[in-house]
Parts: sequence; C-alpha cells; structure tokens
Amino acid sequence: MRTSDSDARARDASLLAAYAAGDTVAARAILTEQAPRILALARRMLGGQEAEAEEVTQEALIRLWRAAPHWRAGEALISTWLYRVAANLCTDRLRRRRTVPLPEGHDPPDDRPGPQAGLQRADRAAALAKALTALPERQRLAVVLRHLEDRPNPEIAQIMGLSVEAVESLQSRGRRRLRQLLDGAWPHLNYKDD
Amino acid sequence: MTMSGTLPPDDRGSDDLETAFTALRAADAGRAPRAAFVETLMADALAAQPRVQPQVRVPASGSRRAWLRWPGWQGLLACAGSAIAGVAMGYLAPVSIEADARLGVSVLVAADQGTGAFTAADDALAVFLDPEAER
Repeated sequence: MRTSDSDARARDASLLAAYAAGDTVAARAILTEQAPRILALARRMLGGQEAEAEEVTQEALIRLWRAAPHWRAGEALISTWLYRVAANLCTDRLRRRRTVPLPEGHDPPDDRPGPQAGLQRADRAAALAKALTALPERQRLAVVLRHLEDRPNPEIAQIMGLSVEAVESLQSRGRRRLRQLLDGAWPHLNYKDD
Repeated sequence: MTMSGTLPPDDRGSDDLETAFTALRAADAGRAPRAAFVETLMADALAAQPRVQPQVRVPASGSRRAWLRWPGWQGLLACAGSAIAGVAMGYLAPVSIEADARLGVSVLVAADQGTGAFTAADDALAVFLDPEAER
C-alpha cells in the first residue's frame, strides 16, 4: 500500500472517529470534501435529475454517519466507500425506472444552452452528458469514475467490486460507444477547428 | 499501438473525446451543491451523531458526579443551560460545574444531599439529556 494512500485512510478514520465523538467540525470537513463528489457522480449516473441526485447523496451520507462509530482504521477511504454506496443507490433507482414506462414523447432532460448560444464548449459538454446517459449502467459508472471523477482504476475496481481488467474493458467499450453516439455531433461541434 | 503503427479503434479520436470530457469536467466543477442542500446534509450529520449516555457515578468521597454530554458547542450551551436550570430548580446542588467543548458539562453533586437528592438529580438529568423531552 502506498504511504499517501495509507495516510489518507488514517486521516479518514481519524475524521470519522472525531465525528462519532461529537466533533461537528469533522462532520463539516467530511461534507465539504465528499458531498460535491457524490453529487456529481449521482448527477451523471441519473442523467442530470438533480432532485434524485441530491436524494442519493443524502442517503449515502446518512449511511456514512451511521457507519462512523464502527469504522475501522485503514479499512477504506471514505471516498471509495461513499462512491460504492452511491453507485448502488443509483443502480437501484435506474432499475426501478425501467419498470415504470416513460410517458410517450418523453425525452431525457437536455441542459444544452441551445443552438443560438454559440458556446461550443458547453455544447460539447452537453452532448457528452447526453451520450453518457445512453451507456449501460456499468459502462457509465466505469467511464464517469475514470474520466470525470478522475479516480484510478484500482479504486474503481474496489468501488465496483470487479477486477482492474474488467474495469478497463468496461471503459474501453464505454468510450467506443460514446464515440459512436457522438459521431454525428462532432462536425456540428466544430472539433476540427481546435 | 498496432504493428502497422495505427491506433487501435478504441483510441482513435481520443483527443475529441478527451476534449469533451474536459469540457464536462469544467461544467461539473462549476456546479457546487446548493447551500441549502449542504445545510440539510449538515443537519443530517448532527441528527445521526451518536449521543453519549449520561454517566453517573459515586466517587469514594461520597460526592456524585454526573455528566451531561451533547455534541459540539451548541450542545455545550444546552447542557450548561440545563445544569443552571437544575440548580435553580433545586434538583442539583453542584459543588462545581465544569464545562468542556467535547465533554459537555460535568456536574458534581455533594454527598450530603442524600439519596433523595441524587434521585431527583438523576430524573432532572434524564430530562435535560433528552432534547425531545425539553420541548
């Protein structure tokens, strides 16, 4: 285990122990660091449904607080633990969605600024965000954690309960699928002008 | 890289995709959680924080010390307020009151208060330690 990783685990355990002992500053420190990450993952996994993403973030953090008194030093990083819980919560929600047919004409929310905005960068981000929602869940999770959350593949493997090779395979297939989905969008987004 | 020097299909156009990821990362970075949402999360954290049960013991000297413990400075103020109220109402006759940000308030009840006083003190502490009961 790398020293920095070991240090981070010790720091996480110390923060949670402080929280469990009544330290509200520790709770605030954990929230400030972890909430934006978990919310960002939930947004990407749930296709930009902000209310649902907030619910997932809230539920994941409540589970963390409950686990705090029993947290064993060195066992896991808070971030890894939270990502795993949040990913599972997102998967549950996505599976429930499948059982409820969407109304006719339903289109996933598209937060692109619109053709008149002329913001290429925002258009590209929006096109990719939309394409991500079309990926199968596990591919989406592997791609989002790697390319948007910047997590290393060994940690992603821990989060997903898979081997590193399986994670790499999911990412490879995910990227290939994203290219297919975005193929038609590239020319409109003027990538060649960069 | 293949033997012919061309990139495998998965890596073709990776600059385009990476540019899009960079744009999306930048967009995400600008979307911090709502302040009200963060405060809701903080309230959850405080509500889930373990509450330490009151500790009452009789030292060899015959005096009795009870701890009121609520987390944080708000808890400390609540404990201090409860302890002072307890004294004012005659439930507690503390020899000393010690305050600590982590431990709350420690109330030392004199031995000569008798068993009845200890029982009254226990009842008072139990009420004071239960925020719901105070409402």
